[in-house]
Amino acid sequence: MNTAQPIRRIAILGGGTAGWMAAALLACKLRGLAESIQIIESPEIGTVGVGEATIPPIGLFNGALGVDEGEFMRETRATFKLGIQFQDWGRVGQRYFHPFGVFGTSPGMDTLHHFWLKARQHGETRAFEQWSLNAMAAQLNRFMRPEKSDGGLASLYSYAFHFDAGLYAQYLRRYAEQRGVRRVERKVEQVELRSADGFIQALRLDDGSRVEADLYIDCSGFRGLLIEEALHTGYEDWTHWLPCDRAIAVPCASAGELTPYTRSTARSAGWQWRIPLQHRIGNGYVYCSRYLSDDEATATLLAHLDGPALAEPRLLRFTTGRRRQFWNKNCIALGLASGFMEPLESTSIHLVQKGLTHLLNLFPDLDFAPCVIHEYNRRSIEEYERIRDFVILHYKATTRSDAPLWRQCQSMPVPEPLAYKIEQFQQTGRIVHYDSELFATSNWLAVLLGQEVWPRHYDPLTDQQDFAELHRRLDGVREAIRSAAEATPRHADYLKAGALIHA
Amino acid sequence: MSHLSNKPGPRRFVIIGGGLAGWMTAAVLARALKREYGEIQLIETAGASGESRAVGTRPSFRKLCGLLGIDERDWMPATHATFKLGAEFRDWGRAGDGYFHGFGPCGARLEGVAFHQHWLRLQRLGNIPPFEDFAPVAALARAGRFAPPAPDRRSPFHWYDYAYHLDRPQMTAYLRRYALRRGVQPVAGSVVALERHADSALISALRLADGALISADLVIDCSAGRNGPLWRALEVRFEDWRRWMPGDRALSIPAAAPTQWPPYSCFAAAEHGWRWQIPLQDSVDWGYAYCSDLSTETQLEAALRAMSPDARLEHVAPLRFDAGRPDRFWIGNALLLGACRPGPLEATELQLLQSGVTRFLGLFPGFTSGFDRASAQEYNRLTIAEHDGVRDFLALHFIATTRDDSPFWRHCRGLEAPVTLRDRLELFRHSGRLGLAEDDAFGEEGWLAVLLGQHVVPAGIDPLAAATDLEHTRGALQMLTSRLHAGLAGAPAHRDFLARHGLLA
Repeated sequence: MNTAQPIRRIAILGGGTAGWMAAALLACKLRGLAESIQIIESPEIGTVGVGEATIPPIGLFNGALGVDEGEFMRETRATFKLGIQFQDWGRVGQRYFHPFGVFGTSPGMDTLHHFWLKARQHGETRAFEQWSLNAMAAQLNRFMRPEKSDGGLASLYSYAFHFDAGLYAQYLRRYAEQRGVRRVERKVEQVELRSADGFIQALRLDDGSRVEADLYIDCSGFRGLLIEEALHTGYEDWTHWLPCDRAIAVPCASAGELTPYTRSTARSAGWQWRIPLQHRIGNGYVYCSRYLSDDEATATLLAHLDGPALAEPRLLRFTTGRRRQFWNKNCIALGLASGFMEPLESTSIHLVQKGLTHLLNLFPDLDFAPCVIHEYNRRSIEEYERIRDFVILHYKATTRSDAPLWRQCQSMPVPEPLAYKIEQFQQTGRIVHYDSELFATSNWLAVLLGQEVWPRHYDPLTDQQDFAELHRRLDGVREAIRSAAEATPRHADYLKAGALIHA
Repeated sequence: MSHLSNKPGPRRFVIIGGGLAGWMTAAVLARALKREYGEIQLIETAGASGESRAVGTRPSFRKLCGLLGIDERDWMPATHATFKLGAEFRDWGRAGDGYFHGFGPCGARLEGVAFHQHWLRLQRLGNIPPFEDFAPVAALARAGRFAPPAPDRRSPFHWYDYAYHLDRPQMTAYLRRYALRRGVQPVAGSVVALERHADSALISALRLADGALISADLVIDCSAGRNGPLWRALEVRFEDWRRWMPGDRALSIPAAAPTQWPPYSCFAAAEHGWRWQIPLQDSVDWGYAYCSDLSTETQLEAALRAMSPDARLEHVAPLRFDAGRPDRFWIGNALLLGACRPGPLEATELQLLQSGVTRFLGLFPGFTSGFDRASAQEYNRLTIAEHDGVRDFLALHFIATTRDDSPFWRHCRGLEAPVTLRDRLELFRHSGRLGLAEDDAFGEEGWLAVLLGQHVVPAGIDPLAAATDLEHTRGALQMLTSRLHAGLAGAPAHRDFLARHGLLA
């Protein structure tokens, strides 16, 4: 029988979004196990907060904490999000919407896009996104939460949030501190390793004190103070697939109607995000420094804002990729310490959430068994790489040739699982699904069709159906979705009516 | 304008094999394809010899019934079918003990932690009822009762599923009638050779023993003819699983009419291998699987005679199992279905067959001069993964044992697990974690039933379970036990349920 002792002391290094998410969830779920959870936050390290847009599973995270959604939204100045609008990605002047949720009027309409492909062959010109409730409502700036009870179309809504990541960290900090998490505002001077096995023994702080813990969670950002600088875990560089390496970010004043979606606009050397919050709009330009100077990027960003800039633009540098292991010895890296993936599909916060979920499912004892660590890394790396593939698809599936970045991306070889997926889609119109993949068939369809990757064939069994009848059914589905979207309140009105606006 | 054009799919389907596999495939195709779409022919060849008379299914079979649009009140009486809530296993982990693998979970998550972790914790602290005692489906089955799952999601009796036992020859005949009514054309004969297109190496026609030539766009071989002309011509290699599940033969004897109506199968480990009992309405099918390298037919006959002195063994030919898989399932325009025949243990036969044919419909190929290679590639990727999952689960039954009381079981103790199973066992033995893929064919309930039932005891448990308030955990288990007893009382006896709903022959 195993005599391993339980883990009692946890130290989290870094108080950004990742650090406070970890502190809050562990404080909630490790009641009765962890005797101390400390978070060491350096006053000098600024928080980055690029992950202001989220995807629907964030609701599960907040639910696990038991926080009230209304309170959370008011505190973080949140707005609702139905998906992402992509501008100029497949080609300049073209736009598509990547909606959350399903296409069609019920889950499991697997053959719908084959019907549409056939109709398109016969002259259908309306985009496939018109068969998505989320997309149609977003286009009209409408929003409502799903009406699960009535079983009607409105039950299909699927949503996430845009919020101020800095405020979210503060909100979670209050939550965590109320549950006994101790915050130490100090800088780590030195990391002490055990000579026997190289595990982290203690952190020496700049006031001479030591923090000793059983388990260390590295949320220190890009540098990876523990996972990399102390443990030399190694980094897998993905810049040959995702060449952007800088971002410039700036908030601006809101203007116009409140949109229930993130916007991503492809530019000559990267892409610009637009994230609407209650009190401002978050903006940023992710670019490749080989093709654009920082000054040019800043100028481009400032020239494309909805309202006046509200702060000085901030520059971020990164190398896209991942740590060779997310969990090494007694250290688990979360957030930017674990790797960097540009926030093109708003997955930054989700990856932190997923890392914590796996940690809770595989929570170790002091033995830190290699099979448990291996399982954690296997699951996390698998998921991480499939998300990477989805992001790469956006760069690969383009016909843009107006700038060197796009020419480079069009012709680059992509990872094998992605190449297979694209090939399968082009040949058969079908979406391959891998085990534990975050993005589902509907997500891949939205981007592939949105960026005009046309399959050579649709499902041959579609031909069994009478074409006129099939066309009537397609029209019927679209019409039902259109009228459901029109019956949905305006996003801004819905926030007000639900008392979700910060006072 | 559009780059999209479409190739028509294949129109002439030829199925080889007149057994259950062949007619089930014919029935599904005839249902899914409109009659004017194409023609389906079935070459009725003598079936493979490795087939038990009774067949157990898994819950997915209900989806197949839905797809075919057949009603229990029609097909159950016609095939002498009974309900199946799972299977009882006797003497596997060690002689004298038993467990139930039911189609439903044991207990429910508590404080976000899997139920079995809490159970493991209490087990270490002292006496606690066996794991299966917390499975509503096992309680129902052991009591000889049957009811479909309760509609109320709050009831512990909501969270299970059920399947069937059915009579192979009668189900084959039933599906044959079904397929014939929908236009499938039977052809008597056996395939001796195949003809190919000159330019593509695809099969163009099958030559029968009587000289007849049957043209085909797509050939589906359900005859499991490893030594037949098709497998030879396609150069299919067979990955043999005998090194993980050594039973390759079985003797099955005519069975008596049932006196009891258990809503479950029974698999018992025995000296030469393992025995099965599958209850039908009019009989209990039973057999004894053994390894032809370790035991002789004479030894088996003696063993059977000792168990059942009145049984008539004169005309019994041994069944031959063929556990394993081809290296590819879809090659050019040929599809191999039903080639994996490990015997009735865990009822994988129809499950693999069903997913094999429905997956084909989901990946239906285009067809002009060349077949859609992409569809075949994806089909093979998924089907190989599915088979390897089945292999690991079946292998577990033979590897997780401490029996050493006969050559068969001593042989099993020396078996080396497939790498994927070995890693899974290591993780489970450490702290009871499973690490399953999301589409695992048997799910957590299946793996836990067998692992814990065969005494694969984790060294440690999830620390989160260990940190849960002990009284809270005990209280939750007690509550479950009492709800379970209360719920059981209302369920009818299995036979009564069949009678009441007009399901008896």
